[in-house]
Amino acid sequence: MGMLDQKVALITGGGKGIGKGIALAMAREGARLVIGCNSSRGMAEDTLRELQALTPTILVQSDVGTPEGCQALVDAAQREYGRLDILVNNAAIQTQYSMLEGQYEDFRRIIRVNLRAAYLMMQKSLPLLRAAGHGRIILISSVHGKRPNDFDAAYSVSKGGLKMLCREAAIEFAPYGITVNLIAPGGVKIEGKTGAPRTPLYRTVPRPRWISQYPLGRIGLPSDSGELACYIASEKSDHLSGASIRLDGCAMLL
Amino acid sequence: MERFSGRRAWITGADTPLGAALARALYGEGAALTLSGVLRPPEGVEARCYPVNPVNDEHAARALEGFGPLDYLVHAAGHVRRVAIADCPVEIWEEEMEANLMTGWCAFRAAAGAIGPERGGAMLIMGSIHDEKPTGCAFTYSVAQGALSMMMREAAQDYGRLGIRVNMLEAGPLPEDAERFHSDISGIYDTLETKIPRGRAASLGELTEPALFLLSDAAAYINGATLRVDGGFIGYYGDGDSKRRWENGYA
Repeated sequence: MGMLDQKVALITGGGKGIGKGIALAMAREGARLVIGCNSSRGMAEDTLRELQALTPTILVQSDVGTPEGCQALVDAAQREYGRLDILVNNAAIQTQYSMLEGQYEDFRRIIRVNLRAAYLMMQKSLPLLRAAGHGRIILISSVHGKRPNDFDAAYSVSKGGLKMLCREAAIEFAPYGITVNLIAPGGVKIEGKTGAPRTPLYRTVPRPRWISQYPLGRIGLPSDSGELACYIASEKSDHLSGASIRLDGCAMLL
Repeated sequence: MERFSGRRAWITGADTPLGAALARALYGEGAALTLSGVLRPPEGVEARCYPVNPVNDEHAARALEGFGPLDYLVHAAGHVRRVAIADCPVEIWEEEMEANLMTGWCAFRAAAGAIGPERGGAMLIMGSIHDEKPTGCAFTYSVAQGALSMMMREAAQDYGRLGIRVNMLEAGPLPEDAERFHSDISGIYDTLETKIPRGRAASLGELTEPALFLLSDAAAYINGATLRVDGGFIGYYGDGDSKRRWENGYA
């Protein structure tokens, strides 16, 4: 018996990275899935096959930076499963964005994908989540929702906004039995990335030196977010809402 | 006092009561001003005015055009919209993010280019306790406040290396806040007179003084900080009156 048997989960950006880690974990706990992707269709299709070996899964390609793209994901859940229990707002853009040279349109795009999409997805999912009875909204943020980084200011700004969206949604949706929580991962090893922080300093430092910033001996993995997300998504976490959980192997404390 | 004699400041949101009060306070201490969001300066103040807040780079540039070297940015532009997450049309979200967040983003970047490193300048966001405390009625405002607080922290690092300090003031209740933040979901603005130890909302001067301190040379080592100016409001427990009732035998 899985923690999420009979549940339907929708994961934006579920085709790769942390979103894929959450999808895999939820699949193993019995959830049926809708995963979203935008530009990384090839990677997402590989993930789809991996997930379909575990649980019913559909893939929707859409741009959550647009209202229509958000609606398409919710419509897919309604059409395929007739329900939605768990919404995971994970899709995000992380680039190199300077507070001196960054462009207005790029910033607005980052806010639309990383922050606005979360509010639109919550709003559009609300009727299904209310009907579900133990609705769950999980926001995937970052340690950079509280602590600045050195390479992407716009990302941090968007994650700072997510913190308050979590708290506002938690109190607004509580009467419907819906909990709203936020996971803030630290550095996570994902496909196509070395795992090194992309600050200028660390680009020049050999790999073994920066690994010491992870006191528990390793960088974060998508499965770490997956495990925590499963607990939060389950009915065991009925009393947890409006919380922000830093998931970084205590690295930020150094 | 003339702490800002010879200094030059840009105030966004001069159309708000707090923005106007900041203009009067800085002018009164010798600063030359350029104000965004108003056609005319507040009474008794001489200042350049530009009618549109810096909702994009062009409006930001126009506010500073020909003003000369800058020392300070005070970002007081902002707007509270009563709207629920469940109902908020995306057009309203965009309007509110433009008024609250994009103005900060454009002002910061324009000001950073105008504040020369040798002048030891400073930026200040006139923010709110709602960068931490949800409103239950005005989520676009608090989401923007959360985003602005990270903008401040990023800028404190990036602009700090240019000699510019960046901080945020979290203002607690002004007299009009009980009405504009009244919420059926959250009772935080109910019974303010017992929740706030002083028993009353802030006056404008009680917010402008700490703001001027954060800009001044006395705050030379304060960077990336938030200063909460709320009279102790946020620390309330219950309705703030349970101890008095207990001492009075629940009379």
